[in-house]
Amino acid sequence: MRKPSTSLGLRAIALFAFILVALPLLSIFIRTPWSELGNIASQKTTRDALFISLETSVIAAIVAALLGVPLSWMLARSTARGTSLVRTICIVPMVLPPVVGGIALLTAFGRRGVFGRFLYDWWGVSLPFTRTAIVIAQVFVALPFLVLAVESAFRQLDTGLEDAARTMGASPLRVFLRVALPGARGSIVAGIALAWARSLGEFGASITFAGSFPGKTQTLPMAVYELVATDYRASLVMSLILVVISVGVIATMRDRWMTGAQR
Amino acid sequence: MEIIAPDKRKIAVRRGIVDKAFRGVVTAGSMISLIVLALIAAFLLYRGFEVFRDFGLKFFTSSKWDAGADDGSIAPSFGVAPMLVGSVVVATIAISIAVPFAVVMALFLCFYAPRFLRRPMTSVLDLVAAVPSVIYGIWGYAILMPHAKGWAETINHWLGWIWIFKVPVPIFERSPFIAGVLLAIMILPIVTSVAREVYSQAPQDQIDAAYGLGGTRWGAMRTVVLPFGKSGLVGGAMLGLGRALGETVAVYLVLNLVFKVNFQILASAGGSVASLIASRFGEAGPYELKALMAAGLVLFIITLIVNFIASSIVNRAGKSQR
Amino acid sequence: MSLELHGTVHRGDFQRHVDVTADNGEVVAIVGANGSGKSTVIHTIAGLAALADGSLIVNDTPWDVPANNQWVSPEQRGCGVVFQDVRLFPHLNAVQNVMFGLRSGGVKRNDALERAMETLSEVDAHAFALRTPASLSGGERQRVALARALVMKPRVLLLDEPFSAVDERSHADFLQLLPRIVRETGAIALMVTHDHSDVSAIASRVVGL
Repeated sequence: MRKPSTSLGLRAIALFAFILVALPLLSIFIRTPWSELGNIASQKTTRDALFISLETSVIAAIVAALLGVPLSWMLARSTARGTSLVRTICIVPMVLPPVVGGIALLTAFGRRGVFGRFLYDWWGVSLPFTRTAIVIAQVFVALPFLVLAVESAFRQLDTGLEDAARTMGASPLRVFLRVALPGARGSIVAGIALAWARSLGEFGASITFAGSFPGKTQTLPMAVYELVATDYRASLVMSLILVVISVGVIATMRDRWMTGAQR
Repeated sequence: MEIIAPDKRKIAVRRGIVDKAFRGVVTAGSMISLIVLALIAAFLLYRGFEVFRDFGLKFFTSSKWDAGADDGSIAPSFGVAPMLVGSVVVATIAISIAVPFAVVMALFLCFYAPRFLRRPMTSVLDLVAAVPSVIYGIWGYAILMPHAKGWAETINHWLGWIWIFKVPVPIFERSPFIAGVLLAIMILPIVTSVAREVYSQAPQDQIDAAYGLGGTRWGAMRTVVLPFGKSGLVGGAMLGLGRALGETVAVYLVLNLVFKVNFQILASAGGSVASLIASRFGEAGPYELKALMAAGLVLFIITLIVNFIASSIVNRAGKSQR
Repeated sequence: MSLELHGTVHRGDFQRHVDVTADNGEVVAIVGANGSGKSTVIHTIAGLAALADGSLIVNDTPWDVPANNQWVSPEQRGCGVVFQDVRLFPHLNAVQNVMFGLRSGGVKRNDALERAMETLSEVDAHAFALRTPASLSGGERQRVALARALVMKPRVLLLDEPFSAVDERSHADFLQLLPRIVRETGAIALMVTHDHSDVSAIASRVVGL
């Protein structure tokens, strides 16, 4: 090595950058008022927000899986002409600013919105500012992440196995359920975990479409945001809860499934 | 072996009802997502149209955001110029800080890091992607800002003679600079993982050849890996830029939204279209709501353009590598 | 039972004309150099590839006649296929692999299990019925694949180098077993092979590509 100085500099900068990435997490842990942790965590606002967050994000992850897995399958196997257009459009919410998505959902499903008007007039259903609205917003934001992960897994599957299954008389549905799904299991679980983590942390789309009413539609991220100016310590504790849940689940999923899926 | 579809021939297949249903569900699912997204643009356009019609180009050039008085004594006036400029300024700062760090970190992870560091560091990068952005917001607000304020003062002290580093009043909090730094940290993981992905595909034989010709490791990076990964990196940067443009809550917490076009990045006045929407949305009347939707449409289009550029660059890179 | 294939098979840019005829109870050997299109013929008959022109008619049913838009999908052709690359389902164990086709056809789980075990015994593979493909040797996998094809009692049996990895003794057993099954069920077997002793031992007809 003729110029060790360059390498040394590069290593130093890389480690610094890594510290930058890890710092926010670390400092949340350091600043959390541990002595008041139990106290704040058992407050009604915190418990409500936590419960709403868990409830909506779990439902959103399930809905995203039910919609996203068949969709990914179609995107991975279809040779129809519009497929790449559909794929591009599916990815749009990933790059769409979430508030814009929230506004759009409100325009579509609001009480006076383009669809919402009919929902309300015909069935008396009003979506905005309900927990259903939170779930819709979360699915909207999280779906692309799931589709992206699962579609690439389906693509990498050996189509020879699917051909073999067809010669044995398996219908397309059976090929999907019995051959493709088990083959992509690891990535599907990882995709659902990712979608769930996105849903849990979702803020922009939910707050515009569902509002932030404590005990009704206020999720943990909204509570953190609302309390940062008035009750900083409580908001730190909630941040800690949020980080521990999302990072914890992703870490568990990663160890159990992702490494297996990546081989 | 894939199934070769017979050309120009309809394949008449008798399918069970379950299969028909399955196909129906799959097709419907994809159609729904297609329609919803097309409708989003349409709704935004439809709702925002009135505002575009009323204000025309002034919507983009004016700095005034005033919902007017209910009794009509003050006419409403909407312009997003400061927010638009603010979004671009903040995102630019974020990108110019994040990309160099991401490149170095990706190089380190691919070529320099000892094995025992590589795995945990990659894992942490992936895990950080799961951290909700509001966490970054509160961290930026409570912990980063006091420090970044000091950095801003230092920059102002030494480089204050350059116009963009000047401040009209010596307040260094909630500036575009701080928002940019925070966003840089937020997008660092995603840009790094894209860069790492690209660099890990660099042709090993060429790297070996560069070594073989008596080059240093850094020489091989410079002559082989960096040029190879250039387009891929641009794609990653654009992805980060898209996220930076759309970020709402984190920016809102560390940036002072002021309706005045401001290029002085250390001053406590800035803008961001996404944050504007989030902050105004709650108490907006019907007409202001339309103005916010118009602003959302502008943001949507900018993001689409950024991503279109990114995907075309990445596609070009993909083709030239083959 | 009869099979008539006259036409152009293709796969990607590869194309060639083939003529294959087979009758009741026959074992037809397909021989030829590497890349001569043997596997493509197997795929075409199984319905995993389409003819460019010509016709494939089995038992007077047009399976694939491009000129008349006639096509029968692979799941309805009911061919038993042993693929050159075996293609056992990695997430299922040996007996579940054999049961797959039966279960697709609506056979009850217990009946399917019984039949699958019987067939595995026939090819001397019952000892590793509960093991996953990843844990089996190449020859063991080929036996499971053979059982998987035979269990359906197919009218058309397509074997793409099915014995390339089995040991000599089992090979000799299979050369006894195969013609017997084909005769008993009145099926047709097409076997791609490089082994001349296979051809002379069981083939009643040879197609050279």
